[in-house]
Amino acid sequence: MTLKNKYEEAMDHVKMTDEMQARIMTGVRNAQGKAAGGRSGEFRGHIHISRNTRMIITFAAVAAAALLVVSVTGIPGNRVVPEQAGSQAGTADSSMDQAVWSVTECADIGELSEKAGYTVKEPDADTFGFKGAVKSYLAYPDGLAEIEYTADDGSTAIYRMSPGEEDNSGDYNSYDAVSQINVNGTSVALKGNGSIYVLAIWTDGSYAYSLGIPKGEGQEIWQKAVSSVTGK
Amino acid sequence: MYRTELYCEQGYVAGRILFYLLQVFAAVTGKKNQERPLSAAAGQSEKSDVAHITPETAEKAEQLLGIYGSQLLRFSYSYLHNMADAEDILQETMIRFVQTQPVFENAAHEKAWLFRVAANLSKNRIDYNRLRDTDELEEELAAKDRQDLSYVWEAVRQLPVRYREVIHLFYYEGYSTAEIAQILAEKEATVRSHLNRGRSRLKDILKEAYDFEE
Repeated sequence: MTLKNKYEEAMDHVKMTDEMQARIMTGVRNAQGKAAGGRSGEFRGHIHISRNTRMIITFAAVAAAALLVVSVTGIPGNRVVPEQAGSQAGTADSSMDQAVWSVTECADIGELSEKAGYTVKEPDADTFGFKGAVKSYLAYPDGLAEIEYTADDGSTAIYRMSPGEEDNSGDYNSYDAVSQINVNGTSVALKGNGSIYVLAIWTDGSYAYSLGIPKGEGQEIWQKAVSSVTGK
Repeated sequence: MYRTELYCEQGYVAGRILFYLLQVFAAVTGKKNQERPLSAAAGQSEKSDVAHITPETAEKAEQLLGIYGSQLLRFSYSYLHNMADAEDILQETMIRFVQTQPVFENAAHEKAWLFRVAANLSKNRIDYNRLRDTDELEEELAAKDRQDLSYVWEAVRQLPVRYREVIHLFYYEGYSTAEIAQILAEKEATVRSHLNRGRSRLKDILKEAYDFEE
């Protein structure tokens, strides 16, 4: 059995049940307006609530709205992209464009910097064994810049830089080994298993950086790789 | 696990709180946005400025749900790894259908439209999904002692979303790269590139066990 068949068999376990279908249709029938979101139809009919309670709810709604605004505008790494409401009577093709999520593939580091809105520091791929690797430069909507390296043998490495200090690696695995090393005065967290590390995360106070090499490398290689960025 | 997306849990929580509060507030303060059951009998309807969903539209939605429901659920699940979220996306996709009432050229166009809406809705939800990490599929495969399947799912799950969506549409749905390009609104060359990189990444993860048909 090939992996394709195994993937198909695994995914076949995800099925819409009759109960789910009924729930969904209830939601569809109760859908109101254009701004459908979450499970519609959960609130139906009148609820009798005192005037004081109404004021509390109003206040809470305003507070939640304020929190929402702060969250959407003020937190680095947020990539919530507002959806555009589909046209009520639009054609099939135009209505398919109702939501936007885009990653821009750039030609080079210059274009990546331009799209990201800051100068992206590019690591020296030679230092971590990706000399001559194919590079993809990707700009994300919130300013995250990513360079993906694909070597001839198919192995890959991912480098990311983004405004802020939050871990931008997207790697939430648990690793047996977590070490801190100092590279040109910058504290760098290395994660991996045993003496082989697959991920480095660091920040310079203004930007967050991560470099992931799934095949793993020893500490010496990581020192050189990170130094090729922090030394700039 | 690499994700090509970051998240904003705070925004998600605040958004959900606001969403629910506004619904409660709407129910409390008036009839203006009162939801209107499809089956409301004549004479019982309240004044509403919300477009009424016709029985024909709902029937068509139910028909589409019956045909494509499980496929769309799997596709959404491949993005979100969570059944509750995948179900939400499926429902929202059908709501978009009844709201926009698009005109299709044929069944293939119809299916592609649904997949594209589901893809966009799923991708917009990924960002704030990080902590809702219950993966029912992983649990079910583990419960059934199907490690042979769960490690394939785990490998695909680790792919960046731009590769994962292409891998799913190509291998599971059997779409061509040209069709995937239509669905995802990408250039076909980009889709091919993502497919190749997805395969490379899977080879990286699975090593000698890799034998996806190419």
